[in-house]
Amino acid sequence: MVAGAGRSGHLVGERRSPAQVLFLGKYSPLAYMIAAWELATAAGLIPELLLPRFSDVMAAWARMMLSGELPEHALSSIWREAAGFSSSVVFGITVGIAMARFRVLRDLFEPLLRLLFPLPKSALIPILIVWLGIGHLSKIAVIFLGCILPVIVSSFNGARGVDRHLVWSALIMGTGKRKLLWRVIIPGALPDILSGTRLALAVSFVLLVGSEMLAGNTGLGFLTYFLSEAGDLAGMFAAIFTLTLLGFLADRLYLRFMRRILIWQREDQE
Amino acid sequence: MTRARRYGSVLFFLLAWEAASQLKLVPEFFLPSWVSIGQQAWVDTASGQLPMDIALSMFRALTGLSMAVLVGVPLGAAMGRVKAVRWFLDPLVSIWLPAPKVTFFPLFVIWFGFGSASKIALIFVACTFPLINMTYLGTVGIDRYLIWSARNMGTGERKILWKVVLPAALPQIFNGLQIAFPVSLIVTSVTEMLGGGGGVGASMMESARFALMPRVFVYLIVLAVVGAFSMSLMAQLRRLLLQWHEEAQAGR
Amino acid sequence: MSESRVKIRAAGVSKTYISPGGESVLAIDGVDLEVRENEFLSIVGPSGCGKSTFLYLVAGVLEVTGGELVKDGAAIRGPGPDRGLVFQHFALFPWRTVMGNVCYGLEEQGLPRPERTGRARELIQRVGLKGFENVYPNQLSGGMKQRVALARTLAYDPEVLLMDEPFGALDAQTRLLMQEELLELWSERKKTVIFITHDVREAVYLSDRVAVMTARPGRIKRIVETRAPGSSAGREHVETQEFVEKVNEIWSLVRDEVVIS
Ligand SMILES: Nc1ncnc2c1ncn2[C@@H]1O[C@H](COP(=O)(O)OP(=O)(O)O)[C@@H](O)[C@H]1O
Ligand SMILES: [Mg+2]
Repeated sequence: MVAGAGRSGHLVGERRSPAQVLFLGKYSPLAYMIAAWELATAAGLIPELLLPRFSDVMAAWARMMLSGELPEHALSSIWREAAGFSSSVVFGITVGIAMARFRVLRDLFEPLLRLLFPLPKSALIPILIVWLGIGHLSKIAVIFLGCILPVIVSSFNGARGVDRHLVWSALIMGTGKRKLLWRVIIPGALPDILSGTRLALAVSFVLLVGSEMLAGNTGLGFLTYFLSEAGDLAGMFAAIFTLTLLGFLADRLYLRFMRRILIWQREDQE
Repeated sequence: MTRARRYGSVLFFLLAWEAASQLKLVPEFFLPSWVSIGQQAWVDTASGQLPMDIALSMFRALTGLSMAVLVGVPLGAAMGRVKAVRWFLDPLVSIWLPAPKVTFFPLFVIWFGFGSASKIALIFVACTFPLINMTYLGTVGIDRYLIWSARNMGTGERKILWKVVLPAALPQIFNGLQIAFPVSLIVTSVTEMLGGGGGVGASMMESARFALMPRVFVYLIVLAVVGAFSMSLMAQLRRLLLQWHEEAQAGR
Repeated sequence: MSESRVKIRAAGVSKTYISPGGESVLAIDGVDLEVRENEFLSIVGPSGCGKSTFLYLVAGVLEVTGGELVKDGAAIRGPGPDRGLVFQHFALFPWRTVMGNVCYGLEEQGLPRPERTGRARELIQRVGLKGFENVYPNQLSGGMKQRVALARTLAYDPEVLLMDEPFGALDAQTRLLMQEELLELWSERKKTVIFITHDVREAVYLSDRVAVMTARPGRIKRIVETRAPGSSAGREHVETQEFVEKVNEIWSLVRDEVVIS
């Protein structure tokens, strides 16, 4: 799903010498980019006012890690992200599946969902700041509300899309109406739920950073903004890198989790 | 019965809102009444502010998005067809694709200033990655036999790109566009909230700062309508452009 | 045969679908049919005439909207493990391994684990899939999937086996193999089988009787005896003059309906 995941490993051929691994390995282009950056700034091709040297960024990163500044803001961001995202997942899956199962709920919620789904979720930020203040709560609420719609929609679609022949097979073999949910509907909806949730994960980070930049005085988004206004470009880059890394790690972890759960979809296992 | 419930639920939602607001169950400041929202919408439309903001935001979003299409699609196609390009871009894309690009806004402000340029640049960056990724997935998965048969019929390599590769990847490119469009709206509104300089996001944030809730809601509704409109536009465009594809799929 | 019991009786059975848009589709209209105990009965007819619909009614996953549908003298109400259903597209649970699929019905019956794995293993071996117990369905070929589906259904030992074009998605060779295996299984453990197919040769080869349905709304147009009472099933008789005549007779009945529809 991420570009080339699992494919690019075979680009250079099956047997690779250490030199090939070093110069042509999967992540070596990143190293080239960084080297070009460092050289261009060191040689003065790009003014340091616009782009700090990579080595300075690393130094700032180390300094801010040791001083505890970076970990503190990172923890604040992680907490908001985790609270908002996980509650939206739990709640969204429940509502989505309940809607698929119960006609009444579907009739009640579907028009509202249709109305709200296309809203760019960032539009919620100003309102929630006014309502809930500039602390943790408003950010968690932004993430929760921004993510819950895609999760509901994908769970609903997933549960509705379960092959009716599977449901029939289960009913024939003696599965009761209530157990059907756990035995067939949820496993059948899982691929949809998981891919919808992955989209929500990406959205959640945007909302986290946006709302942190707009209000409050903690979190990596705030730190980035604060350091840019203070003119500390190297520090700002360190904060940006940390956020990018968190986003990347979250996505990778999620992908692994998804692959593990959906092991039955893989065509090449064993 | 179903229909009654459907429209009833929306109606009930709106009425409950109005009642709570009119009866002062909830402070006007939290939930402005629909009457005051409507009045505000009228005032802002008459003054020309609302249409101006919408036009400015759409200009930014669409400029950034078009640039992203112009850059992202060729890059994605190159990634799908040329090994060296794939080798180079793959790690970059896989790291930046899930990254929250909004983080870069302060940097872009330093580079491009507070006007539209920094916003458009960020929209461009944020929309490019999904487009690269989807185009890549579309071009890399093309049926080899399709290309072989084109080659056998004497189609040149360059023509193959235009006549076989891109059309075959079109559905995926469209998927990329359908991801990128909402992204462009999100990034537009967030950068406007952050950087000011007019537009729907800026006016919304400014109104929120002064606790002008009816106005915040006017802009919220505008954004919802713009979002809904662009989504259905994309869906229709897709149906129009990809007719052959859907049919081919159904026949398989 | 006349002394054998009637297992399933349909009298004037009809089914009207209400599509989500609100319009109603009369799929079958007045189906009269008696299926005898341990009989192998095939239903053929033009596509869209309501064959699947009838089968799903017997399975109890759909409800009749008219007429009477009875098994062992009692009206059919809802699905149950006494009537196993096998689909054209297998309907295996993709998130369960071969073993998990075959065990499903036994789990629902509350059989303890050692017994159900034992029984499942036996059946998996019986359908020729030994060694594939821990493989997920998406890694199996169509023929293998249908073997798993068959094993899954045989595992809970239904009295009636309902099969909806079970070999329709398989290639010609696999199809022939599966036909023979099915006949073998059927002669090992006597069951009442209702088998739907659009392949007249397949129907004649497998069945005691073949019912031909009319174009939609489907009714039973004619029932043809295809196997002399007491004679054994087998590949030998496909060459015979009698077999070819039966195929031609049924085919011309079906063709008339296809032309109409
Ligand atoms: N769920 C449904 N809603 C509306 N019409 C249906 C539904 N299922 C089947 N039909 C219609 O009923 C008729 C009979 O369908 P089916 O039993 O599947 O036919 P067959 O199996 O003989 O091909 C067809 O015309 C089909 O379009
Ligand atoms: Mg059918």
